[in-house]
Amino acid sequence: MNRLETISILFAAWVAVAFEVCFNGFRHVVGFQISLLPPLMVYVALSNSLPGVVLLALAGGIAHDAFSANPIGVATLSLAVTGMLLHHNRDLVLRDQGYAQVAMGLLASALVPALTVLALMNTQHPVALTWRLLGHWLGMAVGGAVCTPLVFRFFALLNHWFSYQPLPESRFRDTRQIKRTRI
Amino acid sequence: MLRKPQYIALGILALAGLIFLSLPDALASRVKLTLTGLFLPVFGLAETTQNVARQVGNTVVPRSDLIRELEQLRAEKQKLEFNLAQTQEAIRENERLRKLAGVPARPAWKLKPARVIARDPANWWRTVFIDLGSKDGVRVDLPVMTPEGLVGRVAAVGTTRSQVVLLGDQTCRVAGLVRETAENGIIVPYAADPSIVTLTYLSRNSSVKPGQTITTSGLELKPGNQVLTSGLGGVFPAGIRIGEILDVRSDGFGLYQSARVKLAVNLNALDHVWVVAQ
Repeated sequence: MNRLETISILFAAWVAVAFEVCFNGFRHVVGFQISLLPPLMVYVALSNSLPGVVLLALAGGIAHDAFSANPIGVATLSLAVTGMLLHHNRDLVLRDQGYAQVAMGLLASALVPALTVLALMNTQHPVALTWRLLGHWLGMAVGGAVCTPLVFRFFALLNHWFSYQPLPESRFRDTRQIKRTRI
Repeated sequence: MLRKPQYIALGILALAGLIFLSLPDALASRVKLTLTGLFLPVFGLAETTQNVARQVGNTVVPRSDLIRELEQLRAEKQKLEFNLAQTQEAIRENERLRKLAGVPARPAWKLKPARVIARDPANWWRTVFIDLGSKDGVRVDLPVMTPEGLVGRVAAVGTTRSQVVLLGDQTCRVAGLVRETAENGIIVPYAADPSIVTLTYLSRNSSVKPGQTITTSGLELKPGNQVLTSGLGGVFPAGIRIGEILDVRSDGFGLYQSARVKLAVNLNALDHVWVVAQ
């Protein structure tokens, strides 16, 4: 993991949490907030190394819990489990395909809140399981699935801007050279 | 099978998670509020954006609308001035009678304006962050309200920011009172709708059947009755509006009644609030 990747992962986690706590558009329209951390975790787990997954789980999870009434560390664990699961099976996923990104986004966005709620059920203030919460959970999963390809596009653009691009191959080929000899 | 680096990563994360989860509540709360400081530029940016949007919006309001609104506000101001004169007279009379009866005077509220700067990212909690902290005299359990009614209470306090737990959250229970019948109850969350809470443990005198009118303490609980804070419990002062009753039902195997209460404040559209420093 190079320095650019580390900075971009930390910055993306910061932006994702800032979006969740400051942008109320989704709350006003659909009644719940969409989390960008699971789509981000899908990208990092499928395209990055293991330290990237650990870094995102720690930074994103703790920042998320700092603004939440969750006990601090709960989101870290659920993000970490999801990230490790995806990273372990990343050779089986066609990560450049749009449908694979959507499917992984759906899986991660459903798994992270489910694991968090499961962990919270064992705390002093368990979450009340209601139909409304189930609806929110489904909405979050779908929202995360839609956001995942956008996250991949965004990072592709970043890589395009800030990484060295491969040099274009020369069209010169030895086999096509006309060798002039004396007749 | 997991490889060695994956075991190490999993171990690091599990250890970090366990350390954070085992922090004492006070320390965890302090750590959380400190971490929110990393997002101060975002709060500033959001405020600036809102101000710019408001200013842009102000420039496109037609002059005729402004004049009409000004006239309405002038009329409202005159009405409020009359009300204020009446209220001041009533306050003086109340103080005089309290003195005669030997009842201590009710402390006046000191209201501090605050701006909502962030919301809980988790959909299962109902908390917000405001831009006042211990530096501004805010402390835990102070009530938070708007002119429409009660919002919640301060749950955690940082130096410049505080976390407010809203009505309808599981950790915010309020002693409520029905103004028309003087029935006391407790406000608890209503899971199906965040704009509604339940006023429960209301006393009842007779058996209830579906569609039957319910009477308590000789007075009828009706939809539209106002629910206020009762002042019991010592956290919320008496007389803050909570909402109005939607319907009443028998609860707890007929031992008591519960009423669904529509909140007076739209908690999804909170922008500015007041912290009540008693």
